[in-house]
Amino acid sequence: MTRSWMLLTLALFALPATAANLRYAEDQAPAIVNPLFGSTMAEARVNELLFDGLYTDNQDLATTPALAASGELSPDKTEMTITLRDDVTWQDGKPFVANDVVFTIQAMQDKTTLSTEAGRAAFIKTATALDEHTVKLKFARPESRPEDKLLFKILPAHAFAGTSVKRTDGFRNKPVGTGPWELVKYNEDNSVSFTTNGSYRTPVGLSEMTMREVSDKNYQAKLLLYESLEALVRVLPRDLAMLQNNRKVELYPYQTNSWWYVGFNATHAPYDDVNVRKAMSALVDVPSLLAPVGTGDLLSGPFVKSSPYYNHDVNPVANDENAAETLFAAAGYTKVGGAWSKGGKPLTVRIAAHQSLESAQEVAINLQSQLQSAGLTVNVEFLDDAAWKGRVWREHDFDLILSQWTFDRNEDVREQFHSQGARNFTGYKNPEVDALLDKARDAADPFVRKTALREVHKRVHDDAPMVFLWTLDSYAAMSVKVKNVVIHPFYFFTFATGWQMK
Amino acid sequence: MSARTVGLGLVGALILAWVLALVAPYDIVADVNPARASLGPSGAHWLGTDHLGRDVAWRLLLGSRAFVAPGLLTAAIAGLVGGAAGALAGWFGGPVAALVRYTFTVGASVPRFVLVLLAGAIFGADPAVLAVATGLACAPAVGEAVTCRLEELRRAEFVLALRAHGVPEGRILGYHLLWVNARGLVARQVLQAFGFFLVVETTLSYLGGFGVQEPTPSWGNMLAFEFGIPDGNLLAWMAPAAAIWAGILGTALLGQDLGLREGARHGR
Amino acid sequence: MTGPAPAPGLDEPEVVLPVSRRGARLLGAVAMRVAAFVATVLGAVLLVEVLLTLAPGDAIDLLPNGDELRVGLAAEWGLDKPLPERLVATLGRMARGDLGTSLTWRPGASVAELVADTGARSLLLLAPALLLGVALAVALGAWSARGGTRLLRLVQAVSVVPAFLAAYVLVMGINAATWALIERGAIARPDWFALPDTPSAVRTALAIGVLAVASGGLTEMHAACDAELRRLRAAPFVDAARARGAPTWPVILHNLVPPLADIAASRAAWLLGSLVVVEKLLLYSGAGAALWQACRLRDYPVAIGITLVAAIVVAGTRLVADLVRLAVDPRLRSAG
Repeated sequence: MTRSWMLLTLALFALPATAANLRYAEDQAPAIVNPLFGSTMAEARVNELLFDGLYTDNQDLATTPALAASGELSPDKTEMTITLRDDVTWQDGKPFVANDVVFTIQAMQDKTTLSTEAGRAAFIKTATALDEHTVKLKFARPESRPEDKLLFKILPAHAFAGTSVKRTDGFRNKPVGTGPWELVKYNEDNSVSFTTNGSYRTPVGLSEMTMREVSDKNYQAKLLLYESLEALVRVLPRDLAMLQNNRKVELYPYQTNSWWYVGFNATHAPYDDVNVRKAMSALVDVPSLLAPVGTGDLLSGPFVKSSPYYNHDVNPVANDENAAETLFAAAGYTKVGGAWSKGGKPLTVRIAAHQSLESAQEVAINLQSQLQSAGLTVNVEFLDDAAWKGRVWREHDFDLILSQWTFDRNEDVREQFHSQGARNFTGYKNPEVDALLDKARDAADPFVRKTALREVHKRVHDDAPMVFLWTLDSYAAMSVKVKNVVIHPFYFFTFATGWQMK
Repeated sequence: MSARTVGLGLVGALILAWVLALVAPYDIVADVNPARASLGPSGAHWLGTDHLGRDVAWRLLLGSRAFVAPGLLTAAIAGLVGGAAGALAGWFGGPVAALVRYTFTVGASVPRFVLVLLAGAIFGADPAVLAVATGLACAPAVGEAVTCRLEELRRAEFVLALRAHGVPEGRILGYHLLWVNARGLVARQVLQAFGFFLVVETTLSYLGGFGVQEPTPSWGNMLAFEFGIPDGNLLAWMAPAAAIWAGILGTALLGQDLGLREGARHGR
Repeated sequence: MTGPAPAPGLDEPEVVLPVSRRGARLLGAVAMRVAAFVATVLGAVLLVEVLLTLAPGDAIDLLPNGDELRVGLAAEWGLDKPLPERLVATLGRMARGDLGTSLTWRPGASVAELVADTGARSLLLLAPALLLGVALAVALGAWSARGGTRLLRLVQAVSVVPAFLAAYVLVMGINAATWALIERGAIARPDWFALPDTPSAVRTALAIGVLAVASGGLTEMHAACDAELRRLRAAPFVDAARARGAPTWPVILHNLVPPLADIAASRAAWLLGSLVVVEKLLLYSGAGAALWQACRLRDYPVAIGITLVAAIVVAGTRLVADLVRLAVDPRLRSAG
């Protein structure tokens, strides 16, 4: 018995994992390595390296067990009994037990933890450890597919003093997870070094990884070409041509569940009038906006084209100046001296664009040009992150906004379109859509959910609170030295255990 | 070619560009045309187009507008605020001087870029705001220079003589000391502030999208927009870079010339 | 007293005081300068805190579910109090030596540690840049004294390039040239390649060079040194040395030290601004880059902590310059 374990261990070490160091670039180093407090994509990616969840995605992006071995849902769908794997150890050597799962859920829900992930565990009412490797979860409502929501990362109970965790907690300096890599150290130059977790349950192809902070976007692609980096998470559209033609670099396309939009502020005139909104939507030539930025799918509603909820019977708004004129007239506007005016006042539009959104500048300037040539006076403002939150989220001080929404697999658009949604700052209110969104949330049957959301797509398209633009094709770039590359569109490193480097 | 000639020539070109820009028949917003992006120089576009298809030569000309007027505002504020405060401190001495110098030193202790950045964040990234903020950030340097000069001179014999002749204090301070003896010094500092505004605007445009906002062209945001575009039109960023360099060089040369003449007058 | 020393001939007549009175005056002068130093540092800190608080959006806004967490986080981070109370609280904490913990940039990390680490790295750039600038300026001054204006023009033309442009062009140029050589097999891949990603002596040297020279830094330093040199060369004691047949340079250099100390002190403040730019462009993790990030992320404790250190450096160099001048210039000691 012992000999076969020894042979197996030797076999693991005999893998072609040489001292291969994969260096990848981030715009900003992760501020805090603790899944309870993650707030940026860079942190999400690092958490993907270091930690596991009960479930994860497989390469077809379907939910598959990770730390859970199997799960059983009760007939009334309000309880789930999960049997955990018994061969998992934390990176500090202690065994993974059910209490860790219970602790994680309680820490996420603990009001004094002030976790950014509190919402993700809100659907769980209680979690109890039945024995060392079994957990029972009770849900607040019947859940048809709870495993889709159990992707959050599990933390070790023994590394914390209690469920009230603070950002200042020392865990961030020496994080302990069950994931395929462990954090070695934070280096002086803001880079972070990772090494393979020797006790991981599957073989890991790359022995070392380094995250480097390259905050200047002009350098990232060049550093890849100069072989100072092996991976770029997202290539800027303007660098694509340069990397495409290079033999040492391989481009991997992927699509995130995100879409760009131009939102109207329906809380004040004149954008509370659907005719004005539709008129302006008809003035926008969307393909022409997309062309300088990259390639992607043009959309007619709030889901990505490959989503089951996308309503393919609804077409994107056509760029039609005549239609726009009719609609403006219906809203009481006349063209005076080339400018659309009502009551003697020409229509002035303020567009607020998100400064940190890549290529937002090109789109906003182009959009301004299009609208202005059609007879509107347009001003554009670029707001940084903090100002965006202040002006757009809290004060609703804008006419139009240009931005992007990104969703996880569940594509829950309730926050954006429900009249009580926390992110509904276009001020959209439609009681029928509210009812449909509630129905979709409570639906135990996936088919009912699909039908409801497709109807939401249609209604939202007709009410035109936003001009839906596109889903941008994203590309990751890797050195050709890295083999077996499969990329997760959201977390990037989910399948990195299979990557290998010459 | 002396420093003065080159300096005057460059600054003159700058002013000329600004005047031309005031009457230029070019619509910033309407010129967007992605179909003709990143073209090289041609008859229609003397310096080619940027990656949104906008004409670089026109934008270069108009970019001077974003710099000259706000730069003059910076210079005026630095000169007036710094000069006035410095004069007060230098003339009256004692606690007034101590307070004014304290304010100057506090202002000088925070990096100027950060002061302007924060001002832009609070009041909006408007060129006027940046100009005022930069002017105030440069005022301490002007003030310190004026204070030192006045402290040297206020006990000088010619001042005692003027007083003995019954010349009013105000005229001694305003004309004899400030105008005759300190104007070159202030002019030099103010010219430096003008040049510094160009540096600040271009740097903040590149670093963080502060400075003049698109689509209004400024040499700084033209640089930021076109930097690092592979297969782009090189002139689209080299032209504004050259313009920035020429502008700062012109003001530096002029300032140096002023400084030399001023030094000669004071026997240094 | 900062700025150039009073010109000879315009001084008040020297008063010779007994030793104990002189000592007391000296002590008083030093004490006043130290008090001014402390007041300056406090003023700078308060200025930055006020500006940061006025800027729209705060640290909580940057979190995805910030609105839900606002009440709890505002209490934990002390953001729910009005501005005057916060200012007092900041000063109180600093008096106890507690600079707080970072909110959003490196959450939970001690600001004192962050500032010490980044500050030390920035000092590694700042001090050599200052010394290099002074040395180059004096050398240029000596050269131009012999009528070498062409070199001067060349240096000026190079020096006025803004720092970010110089850094970017140099980095891209050096990288491209080195890569061409590597691809051709002419050289092995150097350790420092590729800039600016890899920390190395080459990157540090580039940073120091750009700091000292670019954005008109060298030109201004040279102009200031030049003015002093001209004044000294015309001074009577230099004439006396020349008449004696002794070399004039030692005398000039000796008298150059106090004004150079002044010039260096005023340059320090200016260099701090350039430091932010150079560190960002060369991906150098020093205090300048940290301050920029802290302002962008509304991380008040870090921004205030770094401002504190920056103000200490600026006001401190001024204090040192003043003390050097007090020590070296006998006239100032007796005239107070």
